[in-house]
Amino acid sequence: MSLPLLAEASAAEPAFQSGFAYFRWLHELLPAPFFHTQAFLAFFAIVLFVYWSVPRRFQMTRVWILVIASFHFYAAWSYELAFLVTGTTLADYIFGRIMGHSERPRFRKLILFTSIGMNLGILCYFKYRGFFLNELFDGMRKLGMEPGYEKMNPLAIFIPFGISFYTFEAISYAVDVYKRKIPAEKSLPRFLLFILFFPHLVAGPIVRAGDLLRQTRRAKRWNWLRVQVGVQLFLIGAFKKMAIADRMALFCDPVFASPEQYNSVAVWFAVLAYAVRIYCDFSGYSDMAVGAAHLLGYKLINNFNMPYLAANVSDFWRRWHISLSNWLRDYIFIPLGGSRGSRWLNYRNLLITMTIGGLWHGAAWGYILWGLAHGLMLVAHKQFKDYCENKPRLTAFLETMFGTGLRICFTFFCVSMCWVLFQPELGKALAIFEKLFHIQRGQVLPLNNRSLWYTVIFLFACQWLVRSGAWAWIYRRLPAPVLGVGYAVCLCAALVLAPDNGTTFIYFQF
Amino acid sequence: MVVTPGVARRALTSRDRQGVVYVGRSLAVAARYTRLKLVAFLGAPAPRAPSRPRHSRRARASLFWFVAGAALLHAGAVLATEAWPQLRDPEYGRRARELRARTAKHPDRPLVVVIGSSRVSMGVKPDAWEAVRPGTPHDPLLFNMGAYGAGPVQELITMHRVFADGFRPAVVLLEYCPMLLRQDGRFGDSARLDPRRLRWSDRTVVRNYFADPDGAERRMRAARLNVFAENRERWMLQAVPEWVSKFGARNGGWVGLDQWGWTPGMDVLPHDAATRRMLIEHNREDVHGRFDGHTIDPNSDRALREAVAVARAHGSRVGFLYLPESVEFQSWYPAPVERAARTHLAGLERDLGVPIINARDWMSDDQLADGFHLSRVGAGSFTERLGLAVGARFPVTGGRP
Repeated sequence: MSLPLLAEASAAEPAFQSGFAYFRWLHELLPAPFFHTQAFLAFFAIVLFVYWSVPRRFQMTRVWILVIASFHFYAAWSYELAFLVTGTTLADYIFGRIMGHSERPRFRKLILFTSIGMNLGILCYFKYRGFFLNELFDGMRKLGMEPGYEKMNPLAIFIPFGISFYTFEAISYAVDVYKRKIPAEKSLPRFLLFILFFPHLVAGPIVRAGDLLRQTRRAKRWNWLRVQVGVQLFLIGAFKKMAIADRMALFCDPVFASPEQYNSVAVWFAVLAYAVRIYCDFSGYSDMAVGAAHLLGYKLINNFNMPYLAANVSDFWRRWHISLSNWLRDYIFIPLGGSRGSRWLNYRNLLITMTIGGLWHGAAWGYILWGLAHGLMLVAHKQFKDYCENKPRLTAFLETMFGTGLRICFTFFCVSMCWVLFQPELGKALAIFEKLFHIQRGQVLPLNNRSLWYTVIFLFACQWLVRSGAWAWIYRRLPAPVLGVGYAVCLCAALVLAPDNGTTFIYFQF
Repeated sequence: MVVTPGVARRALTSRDRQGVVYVGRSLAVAARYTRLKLVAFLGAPAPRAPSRPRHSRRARASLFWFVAGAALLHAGAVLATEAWPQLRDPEYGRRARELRARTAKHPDRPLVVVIGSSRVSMGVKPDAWEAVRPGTPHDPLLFNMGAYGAGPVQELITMHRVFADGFRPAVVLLEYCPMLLRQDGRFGDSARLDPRRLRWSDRTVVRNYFADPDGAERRMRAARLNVFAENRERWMLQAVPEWVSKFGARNGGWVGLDQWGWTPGMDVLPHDAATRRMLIEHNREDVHGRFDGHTIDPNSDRALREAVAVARAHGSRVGFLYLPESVEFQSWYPAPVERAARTHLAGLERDLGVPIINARDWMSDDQLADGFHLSRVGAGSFTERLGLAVGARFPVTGGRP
């Protein structure tokens, strides 16, 4: 490295320009809403201390503390959007109360559609406006018409973080109240907490009103076991994010940014690294969210269950982003008709549901195609399953250990291929596919690939330990000092192994 | 015979046992009755604490061990970085370790430490001098104490550290590089130097010379408070260098360091004109940026003078070394910068009485990789000549003080 390279460090421009000194100060204290930052840990420590200092009988005070903390957590990033989210939550609360009181079905339906329309309208305005306007722009240009507006830069569009998550939560609440699955929540602070609760605000899990609102009513008692579970999950999540996901980003980010520069082997490695990265990034975040909620006495849904050990695509979707899969199943797939009706209707429903799932992730053709590809794989799997019904020998072979291994590898391969589409620029995804299946020369990976293999082996070994039940056996027998020092080592290892140029969460943008 | 409880139990018949059980039950009923009476007398009882399950105790103990373990690991890491300087600043720490080994092996030869930037790190290759030196006991023992990006302020820091670590060089050669005499904005030493690599004892220099001393001290404190996160890149580079991206390895200038402090520079062979051209073009814009609006900062002048004073205070002789530059690179100097540098260097020589080894035109262009960094081959031939020049300019009157 020569002298000029050393002088390239430049100060980052402040990303936050707020009119109010209070929120500017808040932003300086908590510049990014990421759980693995020192600023968040300090914020969380203060919240924990204040929360548990309040006696148990003042349960509503505790709820208010969490609401205020959650608002500040969001407002530190953008106070305008914090007010927007709070405002829409208030509106959802009022809609819910009206639906709860009313007995007139048509009026209730009107309120339901108003609530859904408001939430989807805000989501579309922030997230899909640029995409649809740009597509319209291109379409009009192709037809020789003058659009009358400038094309928007999709990467420059400002999207409130977590908008897709809390929109789905609000919609599920409205639908459940409409269907009288749950009563309309009477307490405003509890409802605010359901939407704004900061552990799940940024990137889920997508919680259900029936689940979280019930928990807000229960007086929380300090429980050492729960604290231990929370700390353990938080540490595991931090390790996944910092030591694995961010490290894998060193392999895949440069290749995904300019795939045409790299040779085919490097691109194959990068695809593998991306599959590992996206899993550890998102599940790491979810683990931290669930852990943080546990420390506050709340239980969030476990969002992942070793998805890369899934033996088929249906199984994968029962293990990957479980809260979203459940939501899509309950609020899109089943209302569309679900598995009832003919086979082709079932396939249609699957394709529609998965394409909407893809669109939920981002406003770009890559995400839509990703969803569609998963829908097609689910259809193919159903077809194959039907085919196997009359083939007992084939079924028996697939059930053997070797057959299961083959199925796991094939599922992992298919899912990894689909991850290539999972990015805003479709052109780059196509360039990657070209490199993958058409051997080409180019640069090698920017890092020695040994660390990639070590990480992949480590990850799969850990998952195998858990899946085989060996970890549960070992865990029960571990003495407390070994367990505690293990946590400390895990923390230090995460801090040491994380690269200096850590990345943001991938799901943060959704 | 001693009557133990076991013997007594065995001696009891089953009827006796029934009697014992009966008596025990009666006593328990009486105790419960007494307790009820007492409770009625004293008021409502406090709710009995639920018996703490074993797993809850285990959870609490494991959390205690987590906190204790994290604190111990942190304290151990802090102590280790203080005890082994190469953990905090591998570039200096590793050189200091090698220097200690070299001086122990050659205790009687006069030590000549060359301090400077990456040009020194890549250009001064004492190994080459060792291969051709005359072999007298007074041959200078050259050692490379360069550091990537080091301007006068970092040279001063290195100078302080060398003496603080107990080295007593007979001669200290300070690099004179006009390009690095700017201290404004991103051109300053404080912009190039990572404060996390600094020692507490460097704070005097930080206070006197850094553009933002408070910010630098905050980073220094952070490097101790959050020792794992702040030092990880340097640790990873030492333990598993292949795990660190070359894009992220800003602090990896010492990777490949030899036992004489030399770091292998760009491997450009004399006949490889194409690579040399590419490297020159790569640096052209940056170097022009450095010369655009260039002034010799008073702080740079002050730091150089202070470095000379420090060396002299410890009984060492000092010289300035102007390293080779290609003809093309020399042509990039704007005339006012060239003039100002000459005047300044002459002023230093006059005011301080410091000899100057001007090696600017010593090497042909094909020995320089990018016009101002010597190539690996060039470093060898340059150092052979430097050894002779040092011997001539600093005739030795004795060994290492």
